[in-house]
Amino acid sequence: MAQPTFDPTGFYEFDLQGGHVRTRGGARVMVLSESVVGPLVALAAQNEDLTAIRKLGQLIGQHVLDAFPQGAGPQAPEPIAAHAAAALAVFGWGQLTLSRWGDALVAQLDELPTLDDEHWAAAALLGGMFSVIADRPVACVPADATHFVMVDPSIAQEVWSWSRTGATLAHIVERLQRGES
Amino acid sequence: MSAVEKLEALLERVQRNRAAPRTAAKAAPTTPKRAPSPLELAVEKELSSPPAAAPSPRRSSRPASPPRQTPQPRAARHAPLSEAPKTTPSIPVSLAEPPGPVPLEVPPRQSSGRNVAQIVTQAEPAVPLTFGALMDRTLALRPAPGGD
Repeated sequence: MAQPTFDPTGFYEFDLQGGHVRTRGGARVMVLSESVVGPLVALAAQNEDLTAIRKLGQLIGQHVLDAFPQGAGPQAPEPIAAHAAAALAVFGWGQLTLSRWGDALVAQLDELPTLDDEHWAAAALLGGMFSVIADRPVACVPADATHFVMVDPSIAQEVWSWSRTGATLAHIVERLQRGES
Repeated sequence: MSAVEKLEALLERVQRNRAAPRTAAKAAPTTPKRAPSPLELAVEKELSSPPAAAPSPRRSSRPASPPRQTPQPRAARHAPLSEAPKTTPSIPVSLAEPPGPVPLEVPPRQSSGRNVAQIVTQAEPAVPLTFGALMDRTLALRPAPGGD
């Protein structure tokens, strides 16, 4: 069976008379400049309220899931990763790649402008997106400016503390072991 | 030089070879060995029978010269050329073209998209996993006890 491919053609519908921009799924979006979004996101991160960013990630994740009626779980990782990367790119949130570090799944997000110093905005976006795709809560903890380790939300804070004390991605993965879910 | 003179010279040479001691033969390293000619062989055969010709004055005054060949048993001296002393047999060299290098059949490398750290940290053999299985594994990770 051929794997579905993401088709960006006609993803956005421009209604000039109505002044609307909608996605293929019908959701209305607003096109914002990077210089406008950046300060807004930084302020939200400063206030430790990234709910809006996470919700945007959930919206993007739903676009990915719509291409797989059987769900993402039984699928091979490659088409899921390809769809997720295409959806993030269409929304202008950088270039996504997935890789395995032992048992840890790591998301790498490149070509994203720096929105906040701690990279929480990207972490919230990715967490929201993969939570919808995987159909379970997922936390993406920043290991550095571009790498985010997918872990259970219950240990996200502890893993985040390792990263803040200078642990590299390899050290973080090394400290994690397979345990009871 | 007439034929008679040649024959006399040969007779003289053969008589010298028969009379010369073996040590004198070993002291002549520069004289190359050569197989006796048919004429010499005929003279030798003639000498083995009772002598018929009187010796010439030249034979008695001529000093002994190094023999041309080492005295050998008659059987070996008259050995046909086909039975020449054999040298150490060489290893037969196959004239067939030696087999060329066999190209190694290197299985095509499948890029897994993982770096060295990923590969060395993976304890299990690579098995295709679904996206759901990958999520199960990463979400099951917990901080190792005692590690910091």
